[in-house]
Amino acid sequence: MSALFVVVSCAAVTFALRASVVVALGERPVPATLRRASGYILPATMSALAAGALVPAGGSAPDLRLVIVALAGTIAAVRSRSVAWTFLAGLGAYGVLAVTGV
Amino acid sequence: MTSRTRSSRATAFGAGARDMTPLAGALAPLGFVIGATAAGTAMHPLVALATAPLIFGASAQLVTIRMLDSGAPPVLIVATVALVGARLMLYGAVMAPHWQGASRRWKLVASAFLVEPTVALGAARAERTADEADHRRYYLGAAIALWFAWLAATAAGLLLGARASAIVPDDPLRVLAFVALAVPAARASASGRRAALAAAGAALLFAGLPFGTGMLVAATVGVAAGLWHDGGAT
Repeated sequence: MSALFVVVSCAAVTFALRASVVVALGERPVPATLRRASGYILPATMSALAAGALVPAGGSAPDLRLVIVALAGTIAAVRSRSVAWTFLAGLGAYGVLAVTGV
Repeated sequence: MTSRTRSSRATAFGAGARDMTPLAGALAPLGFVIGATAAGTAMHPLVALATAPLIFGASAQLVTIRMLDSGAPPVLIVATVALVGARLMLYGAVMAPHWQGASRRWKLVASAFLVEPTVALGAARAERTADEADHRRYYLGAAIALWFAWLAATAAGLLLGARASAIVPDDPLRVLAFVALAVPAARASASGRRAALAAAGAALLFAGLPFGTGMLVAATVGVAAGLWHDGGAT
């Protein structure tokens, strides 16, 4: 199955999710449990992806340098609430690690 | 149509585009990194670029690109994107009451642009004015501005990704992109933070599971932790 077909399928799913409530359920309330659960899906999924990306392909333990980059980015994100500062802090930490040979 | 009516429409549309500009600028690095991440994979550049206008959501795009690159089965990729995108239904629930007077076709078009920034601006405008046509045009102006900016940022990442990777490898960029999405979502509540921490721990624990299933398990653990904490806190 081609990558384009997968991308189009994912696009169809995201569009269906966006439009379903607007078109079909617009005047009905969203079930309480779904409303509560949906608030945790994004932080849980993105954190899982971030933590998973710390482990090199084929490895079993996190890469220490990536852990430090993630921590620097997290601290900057918490303090600044800025996407740009998140990247700058994380990449700055990565640069320091590269220069010091860690 | 009078010139005043046309002017009013253009004004609302332009105001939406103008108000979106700083938000789009703040999100541009994320779009760039998604493009750069895709440039580091075996995906065809045009297919990777197609994720921006078609999927139009950072988290779902990253999931699609990363899982395609890891060789995950298509069904699992689509299921994960559905899980990641489930919150989009809520955005629809936020905007639906404001769009009740619109045609079905307009609702379908507008739904394609439902993401955090467009909902934030669109809902705020709708609550400030009783003129439904005004806030619908405002929403479209904001949405189309973001759509073009997002496409441009992703394209720039794809074009410059190889050069960027020569200076900074993909791995830290990918980690930071997920961090940039996770932190704002997690900081909204104590239960959100609990969900994020539980999911991160589970992701490290289940990192060895095949086809990216560990991520799906970890996300489920995180959502359960958030719900459990939420239930205990209320």
